Amino acid sequence: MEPIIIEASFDKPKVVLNHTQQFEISGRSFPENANLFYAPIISWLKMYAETPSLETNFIFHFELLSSSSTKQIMKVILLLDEINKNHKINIFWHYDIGDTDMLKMGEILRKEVAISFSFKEI
Amino acid sequence: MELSFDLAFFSSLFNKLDDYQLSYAYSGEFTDSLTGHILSLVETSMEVESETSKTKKKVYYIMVESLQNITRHQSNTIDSKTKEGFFSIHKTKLGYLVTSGNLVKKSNIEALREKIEKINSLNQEELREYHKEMLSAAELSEKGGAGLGLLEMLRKSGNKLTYDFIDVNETFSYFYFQANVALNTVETEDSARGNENTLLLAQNIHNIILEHNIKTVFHGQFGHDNIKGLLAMTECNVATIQNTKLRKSVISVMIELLQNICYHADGKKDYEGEGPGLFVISEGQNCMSLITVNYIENSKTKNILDYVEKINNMEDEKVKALYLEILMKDDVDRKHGGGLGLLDIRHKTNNKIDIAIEPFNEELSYLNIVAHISF
Repeated sequence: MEPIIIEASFDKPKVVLNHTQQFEISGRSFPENANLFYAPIISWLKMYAETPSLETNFIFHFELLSSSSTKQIMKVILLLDEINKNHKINIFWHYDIGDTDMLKMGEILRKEVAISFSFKEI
Repeated sequence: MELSFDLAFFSSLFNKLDDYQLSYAYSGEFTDSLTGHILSLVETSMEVESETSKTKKKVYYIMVESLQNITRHQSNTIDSKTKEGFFSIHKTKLGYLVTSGNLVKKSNIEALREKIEKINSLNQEELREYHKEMLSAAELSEKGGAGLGLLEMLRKSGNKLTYDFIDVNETFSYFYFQANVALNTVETEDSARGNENTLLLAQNIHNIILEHNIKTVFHGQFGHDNIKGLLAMTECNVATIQNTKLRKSVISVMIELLQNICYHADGKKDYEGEGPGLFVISEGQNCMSLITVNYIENSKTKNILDYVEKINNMEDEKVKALYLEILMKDDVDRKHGGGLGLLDIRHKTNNKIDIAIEPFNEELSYLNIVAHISF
């Protein structure tokens, strides 16, 4: 599987989806079309779900997250929840110092899934 | 949250500005990075408007000069906010109107007036001569610089410069200055005739801004690029807010409001381009209000009114539960958040969202939405 590496920009997050590294989506996410931006990420994870590592660490650290992006992140987390049934997934939900809204968002997102979330203010 | 203005006011502002293809106005402190963002926002908007590179260069030059005039005189301050700098740009059918406003010492008025009148009175040939004269004078003294800037603005715009002095107090007057860049397709003489009261238009907008504690007004197409430009500018304005949560709330709420226009705004039938809308930032003592106005089809108004009323009356826990419910819904038909945006605003501001619908015609209404972020 070809890794997905996307550099952060003004309205799009940094994305690292690579077997040999921790997975990561971080930065600002309010692309013009969140569906379009996250579609390849979701396809990649669907493929990864077929032969995942024994344990996968996934870091989310959003500086800004639009609601249409949140919808896509929920899809990502639901996919991870499937993988987590047989292969352990650890989500590290990082947020900027003082950004309690982003902490709350992580708390909402974890409600429907069984994955362990570690919250950290950075 | 009590509003210092009624919502219908913004529909009328929208209506007023809808005569222009593009309007941007800002009142407040002008920092270097802010002027940079203003320049790039207008550059982007001119791209969206598909202006020729000749027009873009002219407008850009005049904006730089106008903004420099404002920052140069920024040290002239009196306590009241009316003394802050003002900048606006409007695109009419005929061209671009670039207006600046700043305080000047009364003792400088006569010299300034003379300079402008002199330049305005010259014909093409005389202008060229005067330009040469000024250039050599500029080499000799710093003073030549100011007059040269005015002269260049007149030459670039191809129109006479307009100005006005408004009495402020014993020492200061407020100086309005406007350059009018005609679009290439329009004969200069026509545009001069057609725009007799253009300075008054800008002054009116400035008065409205001051009356309603407004910082920023943007009216135009809400495509993603313009949204990015507005965000960059506002981020620069709120950079001084120490409280991270507050600073981020302003930006996040702004993203939701602006993307809302971008995704959902309806247009008039003959309208080409992306959703036309109005965005306003108003700053009170304990609260910052973000206002948007756009057209909405009459058939959709009831749904949105009901939805906002519903979420306004929800407790925070209910809001979170509904948020999760919408997140979990696998509605492939919906292109975007499916009501998440407004819920997000309600959740982040922890204030009720103000909403008003004002009639426009048989098909469309104005949709006004106001989000309040308390300090």
